[in-house]
Amino acid sequence: MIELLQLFGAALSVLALATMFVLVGRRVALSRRERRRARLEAELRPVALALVDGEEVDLPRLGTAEARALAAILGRYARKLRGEPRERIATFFEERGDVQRELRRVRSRRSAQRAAAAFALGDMGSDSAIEALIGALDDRARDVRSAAARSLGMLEAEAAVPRLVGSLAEHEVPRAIAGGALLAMGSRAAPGLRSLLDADEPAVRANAIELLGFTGDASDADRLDAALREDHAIAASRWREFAEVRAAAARAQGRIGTRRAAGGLRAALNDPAPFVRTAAAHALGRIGDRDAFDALARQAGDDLYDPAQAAAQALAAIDPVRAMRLGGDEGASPHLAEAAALAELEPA
Amino acid sequence: MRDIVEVFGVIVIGYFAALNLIYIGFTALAWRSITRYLHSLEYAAIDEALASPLTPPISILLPGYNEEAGIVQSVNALLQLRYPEFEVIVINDGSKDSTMQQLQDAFDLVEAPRALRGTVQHAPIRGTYRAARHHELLVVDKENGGKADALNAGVDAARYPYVCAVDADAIIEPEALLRVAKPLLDDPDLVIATGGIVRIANGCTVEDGRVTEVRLPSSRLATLQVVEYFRAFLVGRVGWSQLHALLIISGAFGLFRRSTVEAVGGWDHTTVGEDMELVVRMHRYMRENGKPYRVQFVPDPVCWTEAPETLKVLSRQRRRWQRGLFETLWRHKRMTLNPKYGALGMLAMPYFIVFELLGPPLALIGYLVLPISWAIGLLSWPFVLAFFVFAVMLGQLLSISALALEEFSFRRHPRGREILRMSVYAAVENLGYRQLTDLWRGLAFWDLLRGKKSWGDMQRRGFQTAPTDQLSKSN
Repeated sequence: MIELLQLFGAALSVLALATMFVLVGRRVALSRRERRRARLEAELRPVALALVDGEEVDLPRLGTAEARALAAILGRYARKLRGEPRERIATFFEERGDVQRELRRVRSRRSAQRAAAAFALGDMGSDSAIEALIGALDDRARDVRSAAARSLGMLEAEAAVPRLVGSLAEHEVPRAIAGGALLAMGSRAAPGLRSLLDADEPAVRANAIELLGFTGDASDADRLDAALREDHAIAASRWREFAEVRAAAARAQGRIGTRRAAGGLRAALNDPAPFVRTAAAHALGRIGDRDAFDALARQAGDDLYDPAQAAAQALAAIDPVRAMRLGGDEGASPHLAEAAALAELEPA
Repeated sequence: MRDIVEVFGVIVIGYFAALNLIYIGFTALAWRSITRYLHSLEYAAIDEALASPLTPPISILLPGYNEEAGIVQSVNALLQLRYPEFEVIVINDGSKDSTMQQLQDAFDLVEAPRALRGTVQHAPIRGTYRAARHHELLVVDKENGGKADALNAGVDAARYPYVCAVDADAIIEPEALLRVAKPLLDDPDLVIATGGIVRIANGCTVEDGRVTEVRLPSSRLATLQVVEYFRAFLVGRVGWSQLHALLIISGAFGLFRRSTVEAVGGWDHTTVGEDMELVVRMHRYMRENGKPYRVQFVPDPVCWTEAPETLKVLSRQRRRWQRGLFETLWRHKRMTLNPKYGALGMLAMPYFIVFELLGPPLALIGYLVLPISWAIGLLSWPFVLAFFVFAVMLGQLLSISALALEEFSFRRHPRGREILRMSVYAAVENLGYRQLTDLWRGLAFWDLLRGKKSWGDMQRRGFQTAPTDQLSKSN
């Protein structure tokens, strides 16, 4: 028994010592590699800039490390560029066969490889990757789906809009990434989002409406108004899902900011769902609808915390002077008093 | 006597074997989990989340009692966090020093009423204040009620759906809020609480409330804690989070869904372990109401904090932690070995009772029994020595593997020679330091018997700031 303990003790101490040496050795190797990478990037930066600027570049024969460093620089530039410079970067990667290589890698058996490839394809900026990336949204690994969504946003791939909204609604891709990808497309995403306003699933409709609020325009007001008035006489089990559609419609109307939306939003102040009333009050404040003042004042005084708070803030945005007067009254609701104090502190 | 010692010896050896097998299992689990996390981080699109209007807003709660020395710096640092939309709620918990005056002078506060939710109990609020230059700042001045009570007042005044509790003396990295919120962005319907890693700032250079240079402390005691924290956070919390049974989110930096905090009644001000107690209560509430949920540890977002540099203060801190652990486990004892609570009831609660709560007194008795066994001829001296050396070597290997985990993942200590120093400390922490912390934690039972309730003073030396000439050069 003693011999066994001694043997194990000795083995453990050797293992501990070996781990210590590995840690120190690895740190030295990493520092060297980092210095080399920084030196290569410094050398290749003028070449990368010339490529982006469309100058004739007599590209020297690059070794693996140099090629990787140049690809890293161009990938970083591609994230910040649009238009012709970005197309030049895409052409560079296509001509070198890098896009084809990543398209093969996106079918790899290892999820880490697939995710890395899906991410790199976004940086390469080549439209030829769009189809494969849309396919990658069905990947079983969440990382791969996320990388693909982010890259589709970078490529401004309109064809991917319905699938991205579906991913968003089904939580297949983190909301910030799928939503961010759609927002990155800007108004180019709007037609795809509009086509989803009649989708059967309320979650898909709610997400499409939410994003249309950022990418759409005044011409969407009528359809959003219809969504805001959607019949809520539905099964109790799905009550919240349908209310989410109405709340999203109210927020979208507020962001688009057309006065045509005011009537529907005023009606929504009577919605049975508190978060719809909250969204409607915020939206009326953004639009600056003076006709809603009395209804908002009632909501600020009587409603639950969040809708009352939203109503008070809307009052301060619509008419700060009147809101200050209301909030200063004896017996004013705490929300009105707060809004009045804020209006005083932050004059419009 | 001989039989008793013999039986106890078997228990100690069995206990030792079980504990170390669990540690080894957790280390393997942590390696797997952190490797995956690092991969996912590459595609996490943190910058996109920062720019996204879809990222949920957060109310940061900063409770402070007698924090005149650093409160302004802490608030300024929080106001500079990288996050799309947030508010900072400073709760002055009836400070007797000039904390309130410091805030008043630095931010030109103006009294402004704030509507309260009225969902959690707390001591009366004396006034609420806004700053004209910082619309996202709210100062709540209230009567003293303790940290938990102050946090509850913050929840009551919070505007947003998530609240982030931060210690007044903690330094949160600029991107930490975004990173700790990542699970919420991924699964907003499921995640109710997340927490980040706490690292030790002693020895680091701090400028304007930010750590600008990471260095190991000059104090040996603080350096030992650096290594100890790697094991606790990178191995322990990552492992429990993987098993969906994370019981602790550090009080220094934790993010919570506000509605769930309200549903369970907020932080409990009658325990010194209010951070752990809240998390256990949230677990319990969600389980008892059949709601799907997740409490997650994120190993990346960093909160820097000052570690005790004297034995006296460290002893007080460890005794208090142990008391808090006991109070939480005792209050929620019905969860233990109750399958209704899943991995939490069947694994985490028993583990914390057997190894974290009873471990220190058992270890202390073990240290006594080994020589007694030798003295009465039950064990030979070579066996006692071989067992002790084996135990120390195993402890060293586990500490070094936690250090390796840090080195292969986040590598926050950039200086090569510090790796060597940390390795040495990882090796020696099992010779004396571990035994000392076991002694303090064992003494916590004496505190419990005496009915001790107080927190005790945590004397702080303050962070090391950059030399003034260096500051002027950087400006």
